[in-house]
Amino acid sequence: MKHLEAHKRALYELRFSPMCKPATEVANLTQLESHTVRARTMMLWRIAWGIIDWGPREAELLYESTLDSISCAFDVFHYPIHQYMLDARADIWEAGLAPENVKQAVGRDAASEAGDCPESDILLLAGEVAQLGDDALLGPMEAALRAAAVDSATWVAPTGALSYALGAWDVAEAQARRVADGIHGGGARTVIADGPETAWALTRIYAALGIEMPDDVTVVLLSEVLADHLTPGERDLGVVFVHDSRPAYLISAEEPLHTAILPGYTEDELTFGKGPVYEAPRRLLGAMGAERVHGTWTRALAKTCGADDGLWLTHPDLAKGLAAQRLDHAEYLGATIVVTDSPLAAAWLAKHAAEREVEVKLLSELFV
Amino acid sequence: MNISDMQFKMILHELAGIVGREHTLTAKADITIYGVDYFWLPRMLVDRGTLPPLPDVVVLPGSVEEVSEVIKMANLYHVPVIPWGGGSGSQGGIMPVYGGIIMDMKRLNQVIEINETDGTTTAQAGINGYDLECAVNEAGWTFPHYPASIHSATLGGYLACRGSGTISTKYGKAEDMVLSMQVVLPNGDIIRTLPVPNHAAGPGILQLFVGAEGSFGTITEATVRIERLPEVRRFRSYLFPDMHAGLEAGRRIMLDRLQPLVIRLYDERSTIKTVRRVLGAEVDHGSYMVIGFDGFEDIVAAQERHAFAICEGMDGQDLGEELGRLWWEHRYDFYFPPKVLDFPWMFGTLDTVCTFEKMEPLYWAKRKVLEEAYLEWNLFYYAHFSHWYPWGVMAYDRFIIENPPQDPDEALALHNEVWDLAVKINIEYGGVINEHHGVGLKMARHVRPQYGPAFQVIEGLKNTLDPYNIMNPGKMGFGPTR
Repeated sequence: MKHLEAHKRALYELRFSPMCKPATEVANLTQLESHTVRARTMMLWRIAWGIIDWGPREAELLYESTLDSISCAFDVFHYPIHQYMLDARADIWEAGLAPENVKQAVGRDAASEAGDCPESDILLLAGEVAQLGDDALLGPMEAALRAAAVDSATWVAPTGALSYALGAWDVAEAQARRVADGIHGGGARTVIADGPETAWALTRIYAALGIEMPDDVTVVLLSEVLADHLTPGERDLGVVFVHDSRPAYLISAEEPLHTAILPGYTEDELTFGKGPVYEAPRRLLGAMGAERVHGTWTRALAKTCGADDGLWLTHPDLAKGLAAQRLDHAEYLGATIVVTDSPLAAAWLAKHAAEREVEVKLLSELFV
Repeated sequence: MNISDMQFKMILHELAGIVGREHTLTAKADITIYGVDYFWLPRMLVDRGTLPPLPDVVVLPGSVEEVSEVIKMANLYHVPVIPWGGGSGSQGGIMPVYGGIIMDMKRLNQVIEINETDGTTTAQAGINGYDLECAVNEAGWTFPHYPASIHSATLGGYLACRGSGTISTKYGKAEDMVLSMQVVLPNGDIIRTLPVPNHAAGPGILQLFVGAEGSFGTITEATVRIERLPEVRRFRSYLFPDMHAGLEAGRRIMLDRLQPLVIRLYDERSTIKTVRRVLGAEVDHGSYMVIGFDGFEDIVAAQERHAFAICEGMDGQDLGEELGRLWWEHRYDFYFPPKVLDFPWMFGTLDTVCTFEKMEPLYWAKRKVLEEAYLEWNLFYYAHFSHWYPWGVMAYDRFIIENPPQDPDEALALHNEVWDLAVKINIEYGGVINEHHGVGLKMARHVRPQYGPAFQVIEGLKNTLDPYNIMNPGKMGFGPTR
């Protein structure tokens, strides 16, 4: 358990604390105590300290969750639970103990094809689209970039984010190396990430895997590029709920809920996330005169809709439930449209909004 | 459960028929967490590589009808049922000491109504405390019950254990905030208490279930008071020459009905040990107090003027707003790792409540007797006073033994001895065995001595309501399921 070993001390400190918010995103759905942060940290502590071994159910519990983007918010000292989860998954994978559904998802990811990286100063890297295996959302992204007068080439390539999240760092490393080499070979100076998960791969995962990006390459989110270069006119979009996908949390300069959430306050939206990953969609929607709603129910912020971390592939029923939760919350707040800058989230939410009144749009689609 | 494997399988089959197979858990990886709350004992056992008693099965009912069906079935087979909320209790109230069924209530988590005319909300008992707070916040209200466990505990848990929050001094404890409840009795019947708590329609049964920790029934829904979010909420801190001066200032403020939101007074030891460590306040003597008010600005200003005059009249040194605000913003830090008390230490919160006149004698007696009795273990005693009433105050007093026995049985024996002595002093000096953490397994043996002959009232009710003692056996002074 070499990866989890690094967190022995933190897991020891956390192992019994009910104050560290019992709920993860999945626990909010299932209400199972064994899906809570409390249960998970107690389990990981017992494994890290050699009290118990990984069994099939323990491994399953590890994957019946997301990388938990909310526990930090409810813990005043902000223990990075997601990091313990990632490292535990890497241990499980390396030990060959990953559940079959996880192996299948990694196999699918490993088998996905990437063409050659096109030569261009500016590259739209469509990592989330590659994971989806459906390029229907590429058109709106490319059109939005054209509307913003950004001359870019598109490369649909798996970034390694999915396999990394599932613990298969060997697969992730191979994909990351291919992407880094492709960017180097294609001469791009600016890489536009198609969504937060792609940006997470380029800005966080590659460093963790020891993959070096070319020094002079700047990584930027598509939403940031659009916010910087588009001047959209006012439009009647209806009542907008912005869905910040879970990976947004992992790449934000200042994490959402960077101050511990305490009862008895109504919070400004900015408290729930600062930095470009949150602000770019808000800026664009603000420029369009959109009426936006957000909840004080902070569990709903930076929360997965089930499309992140491969949950939609490994546990589609849980992922479907998370999408329903997200849509329910948007509707409860009076939203008529859910907007997200994540192609993965857009596709997954749209799939489960088919029978609803609320509409789901990828941010780029608003400019086409 | 003392039944055959075959019968257990039959019971499991019936349970799955009631709540669904996906809400019926038996895998060890799933049920282990249900044996551990925030009580020192189960945590100590897990810390030392063993396990506390675990339930045979965990069920998660999704409706009050399912709760009723589970309980009716348990009655048939004489199987223990332990309601489970958020698992944040510090007394072992959820420990399945005789095995049986743990009934996790968290699927009953809906806000049914926010009634802005009455200033009430009705919600299912399994709703998480913070979720309930956010729901009422969105409507411009607050449920002013802010325990450190708010991110974990449930509404049902608040009420079942007579919980208290940071601002109880103004807004009251859980039992003061509840208007009515829906309860599933130990025979499975679903009842409602009267619609309002104040009446002359007989003795009232609402408070029978509040604080009963599931022994008399399972709370499934409650209507509680909510308050408008205040215009201002302000804090101030004072340093008194000693604890006596601080207690006297607090007493006068309460008797003058100045309605402080919070008064938290730290004894001299806590002032140095805790306040300095957690808040970084440069205090090395005296007794530190945080006092806060909320509401309309002009009313708060008037309350502050009178209260601050009392503090200064007791030689309190005004440390200003900043330290008070710092305390408010970091008030939960004390309860979170890595600052919370942890193993290998032995520790416990010996809280009690009594009238003002009795508090100081109680505090000094407990401190002296415990420290002398456990001199060889270097027992350390300290306290703060955090929940105030017009007639008295609660002592949130603690003991720490930094080097307890490592053998679990020896550790438990020492732990129980300390508690026995502390509780004896609490009762002898006019206090009660607990103010807001509840009874659970930890205090179960002290309930009969606490009530004396009056315990027959509780026992009579229990025997009538729950003749087989299926509901949370081993707690509240009662034995195993019959």
